[in-house]
Amino acid sequence: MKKFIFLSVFAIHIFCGKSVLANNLEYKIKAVLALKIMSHIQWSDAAFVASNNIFRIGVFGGDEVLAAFKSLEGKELIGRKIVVEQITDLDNLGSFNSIFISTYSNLPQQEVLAALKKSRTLTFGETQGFAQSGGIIGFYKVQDKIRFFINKKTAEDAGLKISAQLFRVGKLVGNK
Amino acid sequence: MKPFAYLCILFYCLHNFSTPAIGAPADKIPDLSFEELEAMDFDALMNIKIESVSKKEETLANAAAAVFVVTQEDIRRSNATAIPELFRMVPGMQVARIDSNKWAVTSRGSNSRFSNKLLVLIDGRSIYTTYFSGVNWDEHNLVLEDIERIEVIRGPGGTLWGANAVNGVINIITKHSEKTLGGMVSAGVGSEERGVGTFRYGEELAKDKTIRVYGKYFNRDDFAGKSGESEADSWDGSRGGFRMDWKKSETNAFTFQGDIYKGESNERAKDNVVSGSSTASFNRAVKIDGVNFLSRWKHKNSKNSEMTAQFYFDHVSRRGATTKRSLIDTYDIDFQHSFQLGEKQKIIWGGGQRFIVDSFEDSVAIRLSPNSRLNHITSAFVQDDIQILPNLLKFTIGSKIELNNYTGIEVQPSARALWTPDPKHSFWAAVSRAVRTPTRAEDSIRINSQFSGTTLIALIGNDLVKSEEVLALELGYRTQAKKNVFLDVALFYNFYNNLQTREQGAAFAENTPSPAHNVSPFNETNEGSGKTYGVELFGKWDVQENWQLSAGFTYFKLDLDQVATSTFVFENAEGNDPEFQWNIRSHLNLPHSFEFDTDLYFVDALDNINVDSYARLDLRLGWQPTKSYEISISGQNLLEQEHDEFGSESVSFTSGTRVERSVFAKATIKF
Repeated sequence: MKKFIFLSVFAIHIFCGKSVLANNLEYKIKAVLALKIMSHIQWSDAAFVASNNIFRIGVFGGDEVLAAFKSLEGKELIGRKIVVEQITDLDNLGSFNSIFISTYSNLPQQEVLAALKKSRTLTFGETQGFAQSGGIIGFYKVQDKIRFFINKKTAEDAGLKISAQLFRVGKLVGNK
Repeated sequence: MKPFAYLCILFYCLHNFSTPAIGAPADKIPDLSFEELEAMDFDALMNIKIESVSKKEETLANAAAAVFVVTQEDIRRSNATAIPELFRMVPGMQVARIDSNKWAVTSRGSNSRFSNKLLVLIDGRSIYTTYFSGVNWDEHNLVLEDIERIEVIRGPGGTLWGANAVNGVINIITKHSEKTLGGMVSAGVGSEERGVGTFRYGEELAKDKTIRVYGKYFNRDDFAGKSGESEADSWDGSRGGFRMDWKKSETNAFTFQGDIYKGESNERAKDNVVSGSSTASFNRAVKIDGVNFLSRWKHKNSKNSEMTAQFYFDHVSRRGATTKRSLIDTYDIDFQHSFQLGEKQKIIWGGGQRFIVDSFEDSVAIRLSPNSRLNHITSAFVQDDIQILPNLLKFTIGSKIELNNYTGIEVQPSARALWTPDPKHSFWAAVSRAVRTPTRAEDSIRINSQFSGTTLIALIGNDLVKSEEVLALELGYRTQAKKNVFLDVALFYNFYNNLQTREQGAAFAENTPSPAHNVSPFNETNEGSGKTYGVELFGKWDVQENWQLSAGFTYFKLDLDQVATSTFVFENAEGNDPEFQWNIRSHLNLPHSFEFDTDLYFVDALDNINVDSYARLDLRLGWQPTKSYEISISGQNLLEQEHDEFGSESVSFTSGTRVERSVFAKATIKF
């Protein structure tokens, strides 16, 4: 009897499970916001030398986060085709035009930001204090709605010029 | 059995991590496509409300205490029919069903039908009985659909909640009436639950003024009798009530609510002294009725300052138990004010006054002297939340001071720290002192316990009995390790002093009840001490989009000691609590709005009261095609025909029964 019950329970789970990777609104919104933010940035041509004249977006995070950003792939931004790649190490980070560091990153955020110093990469993050401690755009939540901080100084240090329109929707912060 | 189970798990893992699976999504997040999102402007995108990882886990991450929240979804999918059954899912809680209408429930040890170190409140109304500081759960068979959530806090909570929150506090919070508009009818029938019917109707009386009324009837069958005992523990009852919420303005809100109930809890009475020379066992019906009313006013002075004033009245009557009749009326008024002090401090302070008028009718077995008395508790507390490093390190320090008519002034301070190095991890630590004040029974009771030959063994109350004390050290860690994985660990080490013991006094002769006999008295004293320690683990894993798995594990150890001269066999009580407990719960959403839920519980043996370890499996199949209709069928205790969950205690007066395998079907319609 006990075996029958356990077998039935497991059989139901085995045949009825569904992949968790499919749909995540939060990261889809963050990906779209990132796209819109990137379109409000003035990039210098020098930023695309290292990226071989394509718009390279790197993602630190799991499959779920990557799946949301992959929706951007193939689109054109400032006349360049977007390519999205998952990043798992610190090698050659400067060849990315933009990098999203999720809370599921396998590497410590500060190590990633340290490796990006002096690069022309636009950084997005979602941990607390991201934009105040070396990042450029930091997503945060207010009553379950997504907002973002902008660190103008860090952006300028990376040679990125942010359009004034962005300051109306994002919140300006400085370094700690 | 074990290899078979491992094979099942292995097969499952191989299957699900290597192949795509089928099934309908159970996604509650609005399914906006990438193209739809891309067409939106900044304002629209930043106005979409996303579902948090879990409100439950977010709340937990900010608490410097061992907190577990039972949500309405947990309740619905458990198919539980009584509140104590819901605590089985909480790590660190000990739940044992004594019979159909009685439970032994506590956290972190000292479990008993008369568990007296756990404070339970419904919407801020204390429901422990001041007679023995425990909870008569048969008085509180609420409409489970009306519960918003149950917050279970293991460990001391005396600083905010006052005396008796020694090992834990349970806050049962019912839904705001604006969440129960419209009608609801539910009916259930089963092999043990012979019939449960609930009606609820909610209406908007005016703008921001809503009300609900409800009625409930239930009828339970007997469980199986223990060896050599007959079963006679059926239970039935009915209750009705209302809740009205009125948001008069942006700054003032009022709540009024009340319940009236009656019921009959049957039981097999055991070892009741019925004359001056005899003891008997027999079946009896305990008749219960009660009424309560609560009003609350919330006033927002400013963005950072809020006051709450609350009054409640509670009347409970029990007739036909070993105490022939007990009447307890409670009048309670509380005030609380919270405000921001500067940028980094939040102060909460308040006070309260409670009057308890009790009246008891003696039986041969139990009498109280005096029969009737007015008891009172005056209290004041203050607590300061200090953000030492904003969003990184928080300290909470505070104390409650209570004046009661048994022991005078009691002080219950606590200090807590919460460190959140990043949003995914939090560590907390706490040190607290809490007390359990003496009960009316310990102070004034005389229990004629049993005859040993011609000598009557009696337990005699003592008005000099002191409060039991605990000094608790706690540590905890929580992590949202991954988007779909949450872990919670709590460790505790408690030092107890002045624990209740019963010391043998000098024998004496007495004439009543006749015939004349000798009495061997045991007097209530505080000669015990002890320590408890343990670890409580909880994990939740969203394995797949339509499947959530959670698990709890508890290790608990109790070491009791007593003064050298003590004659009380105190250490036996170490065997009233399971050393190990674990549970695994699975919620699976199937295609076509079906739900399949599995709850597996393991509870270690209770050596002192001869209860073997047991595993308990509950299954539920539900179908909820829309929010308005739900049908479910469930089976409880499917692994065994029957099993013991609790044994006879020395002064329980009931033999208890064996929990049986059962099935239960339920239909709910909302309109």
